Amino acid sequence: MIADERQSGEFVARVRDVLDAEPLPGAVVERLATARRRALAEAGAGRRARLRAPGRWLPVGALAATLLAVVLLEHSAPVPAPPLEDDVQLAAVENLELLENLDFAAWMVETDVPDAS
Amino acid sequence: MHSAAPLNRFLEQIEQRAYRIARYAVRDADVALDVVQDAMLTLATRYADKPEQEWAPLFYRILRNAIIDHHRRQRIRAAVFMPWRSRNGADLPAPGELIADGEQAEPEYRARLSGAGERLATALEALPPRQREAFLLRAWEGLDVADTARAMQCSAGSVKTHYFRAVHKLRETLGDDWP
Repeated sequence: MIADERQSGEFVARVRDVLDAEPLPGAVVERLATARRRALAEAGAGRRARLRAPGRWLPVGALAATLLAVVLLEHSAPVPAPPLEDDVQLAAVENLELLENLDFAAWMVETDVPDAS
Repeated sequence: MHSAAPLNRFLEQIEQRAYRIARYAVRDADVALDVVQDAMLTLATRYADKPEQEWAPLFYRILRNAIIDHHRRQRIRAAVFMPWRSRNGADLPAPGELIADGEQAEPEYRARLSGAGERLATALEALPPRQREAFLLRAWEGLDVADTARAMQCSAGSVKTHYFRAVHKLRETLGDDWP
């Protein structure tokens, strides 16, 4: 088993050597190099065209505008925080007591209750 | 911005092996050049921004798809121009049968090959396409099992099976005393 694997490894190495040693015709080598240069040139031209295209920057502009708006809102004049529910209830109770005191004072004036002192 | 230099180096390193792999598959020098050129163009225009270690499996996947497209077009062309052969749909010529003429058109290329190279080329061309592909990508291009599987769009287990069978078949065909 191990000997067979070793022989397979040696065989594959020989195949690789033969493949590497086989020369390609010069015309083919030249055409491959031309094809590579053309592919790279077209890729570069495409990238430049995408960068120049105004539509490319629309999403970037929209995102920047949104971020700017958020920052401006965060740093604008502070808005008083809405009262908490407990505060509202407390204020309501205090107002009720004040109204009751006012009623009591008005009743005292009207009835002319003599001073206890 | 992505620099073109690493991609140029990568393509320069693989272009000749890619051509030979394509040529074993399509058996025509001009078609092989066309599919390699298309694969280079696709990689450069669509996938140049991918990490460099992904380029090889991506490139060979693109090349493989281009070769499959070529065979498909050949079969359709044969069905249109040789309809008597495809009457039952099962009698379409195999891709190798269709492109055998291309092989005869370049005897000077054959003449350049040494005896060992020619025997190897014949043995490689006789392999089933998936076995040949797995063998060349693993043994010659040096892709690992995972990258070969990515390029061939199959599982790692399939790659190992195809590779094992290819080595076995080549050893059987060429003999242990080759070259």
